[in-house]
Amino acid sequence: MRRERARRLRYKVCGWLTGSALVGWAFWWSQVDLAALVRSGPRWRDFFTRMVPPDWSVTGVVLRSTVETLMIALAGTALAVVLALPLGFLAASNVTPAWIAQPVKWLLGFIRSIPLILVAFVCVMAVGLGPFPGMLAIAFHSLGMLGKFYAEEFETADPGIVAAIEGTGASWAQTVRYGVVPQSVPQIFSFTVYRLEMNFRDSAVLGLVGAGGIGYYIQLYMRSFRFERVVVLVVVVVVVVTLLDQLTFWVRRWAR
Amino acid sequence: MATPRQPAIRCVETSVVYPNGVRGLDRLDLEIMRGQMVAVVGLSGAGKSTLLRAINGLVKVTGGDVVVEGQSVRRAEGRALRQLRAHVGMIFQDYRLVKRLTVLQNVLVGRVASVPTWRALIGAWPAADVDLAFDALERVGLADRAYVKASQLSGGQQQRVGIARALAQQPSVILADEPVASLDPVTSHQVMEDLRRINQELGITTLVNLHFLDLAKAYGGRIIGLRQGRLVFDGDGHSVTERDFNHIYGRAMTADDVLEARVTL
Ligand SMILES: Nc1ncnc2c1ncn2[C@@H]1O[C@H](COP(=O)(O)OP(=O)(O)OP(=O)(O)O)[C@@H](O)[C@H]1O
Ligand SMILES: [Mg+2]
Repeated sequence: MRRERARRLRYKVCGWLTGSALVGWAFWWSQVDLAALVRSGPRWRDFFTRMVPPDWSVTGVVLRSTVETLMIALAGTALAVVLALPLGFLAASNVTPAWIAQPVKWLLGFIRSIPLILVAFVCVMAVGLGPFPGMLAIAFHSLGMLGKFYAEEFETADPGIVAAIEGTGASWAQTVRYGVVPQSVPQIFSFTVYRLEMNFRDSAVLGLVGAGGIGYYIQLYMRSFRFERVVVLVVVVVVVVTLLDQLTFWVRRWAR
Repeated sequence: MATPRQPAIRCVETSVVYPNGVRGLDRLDLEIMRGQMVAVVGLSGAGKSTLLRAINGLVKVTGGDVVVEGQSVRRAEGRALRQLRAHVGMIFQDYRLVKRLTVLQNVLVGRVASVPTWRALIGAWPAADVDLAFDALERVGLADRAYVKASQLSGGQQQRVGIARALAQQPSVILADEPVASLDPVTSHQVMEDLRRINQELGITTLVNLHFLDLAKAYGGRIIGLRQGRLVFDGDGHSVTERDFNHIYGRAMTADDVLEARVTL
C-alpha cells in the first residue's frame, strides 16, 4: 500500500516536471524578450493616440463587409451541415460497419487538420477572388469538425432503442432516422449553431488571401497604418460578435 | 384470421452461442401454435431473452433453426429478414420508446417497414397508416395522448405505447421481454390484461418472458421453463404446481419469485 503511494507520487512529480519543462522550452522557443516589451511602451501609446478620433466615414464599408463575412459563414456552415450529416452517419460505428466507419473518420480527421487559411488560398486559386472561395473554404473546414461531432453524437444513441427500431423490420436509413436522429437532435443543433459562431470569427481571416469579407479591410487599414479606421473595424466586429454570442446563447437554450 | 393448430413458431434443435462463447440456447425444441399465449419462465441467465431475440433475428442462431410462420429465421437476410421482423412485434422491459417523439410518432415507427422509405424518412405517413396507429392506441386506451411527448407518460402508459407500437406492425407474433418488470403490481396486472385481451381478440400468438411466477400462472395459458438454455418444463398454466417451479428454478420458491407475496399458488 505504502509502496503504491510512493510510486504514484513519483509519477506525479515526473509528470509535473516534464510538463513545466515543456512549457518553459516553449517560451524559450518563442524568443520571449522582456526588454523589447519594456521598450515598446511609447509605441503602444502611439497606436492608441492615433486611434482617436475614429474615422467613422468608413462605417458603411466596414458594416457591409461584416455582413458579407456573416453571410459567408452562414452559407459555408449550411453547406457543411448538408455534407456532414451523411458522413456523420457513415462514421458512426453503432450504425455503420467498422470497415466503413473508420476510414470515414480518418477522412474527416484529415479534412479537419488542414488549416483554414490554406484551404482558402487553394480555393481562391481555383475559383478566383471574392466571397465564393471563402464560403467553400469555410464549408470544407467545418465539414471535418461537424462530421466528427455528429458521428460521436450518433454513437451515444441508446443501443436498446436502435435494436427496438431494427426489430420492427426497419431498413438502415429508417433505423437511423428513428433510432438515432431524434436522440441526437438537441446536441447537434446546439453544436452547429456554436460552429456557425466560430465560423464567423474564422471568416475574418479569409480576406487576407482575397476570399472576401472583413479580412480585406483589416489588412488594408493595418498595412497603411490607418489606426483611426482600424478602431472602427474593431468596434463593429466586437459589437457583431457580442450580438451573435447572445443570439446563439438564446437559440441553444431554446433548443434544449 | 389466425388458424389454430398451425405452428406459428417452431424451434428445431435451436442453439445460440454468443461470440464470447456463452451458450444462450442449447438445442431447444419447441412448437408454439397460432394464437397461443405462452409465458416463459426461468432464472436470470436461463436464456429467456435470447429465445425471444432469436425468434426475430436480433441474435444469430448458430445451430438448428427457428421457423416463424413457415419462414426460416436463420436463412433470412436483408429484405426477407426485415419482412419477417415486420410481422413480429416486440415489447421490452424498458419500453424503448423514442422519448423526444410524440406518442403517435412512436406508434407510427411500427409502420416503417410497411410504407415507402422516403415517406417514413420525412414523416409523411399515409392516412391509412395513421388510422392504424390510432386504432392501436385506442386498443390500449391512449388515443387521447397521441400528441404528447413519450417522455411525459408514466411507466405503465409508456409500456402501453410500446404495445401499441407492436400492434401497429399488424404482427402475427408478439414477443414481450419482461414487459412488467419495471411496473408496480396494479399496473403490471393492467398491462398483462391488455396483452391477454389483444391475444384473445386479435388471435396474435404471444410469448411473454415473466419474472414473477404468479403472473406466469395467471396469464400464461401455457408455461415453458428454461434452465441454462434448455427446455426443462412445458405445461398448462392452470395445472402448474409449486413442484414444477422448483424444478424449473432448481431451488425452492421464495417471496421474491411472486409479484404479490400473499398470493399462493
Ligand atoms: N449479447 C450477449 N453476449 C454474450 N452473452 C450474452 C449476451 N446476452 C446474453 N448473454 C448470456 O447468455 C445467457 C442467457 O442470457 P439471457 O439474457 O437470454 O437470459 P435471461 O433468461 O433473459 O435472463 P434475465 O432474467 O436476467 O433477463 C446468459 O448467460 C447471458 O450472460
Ligand atoms: Mg432477459
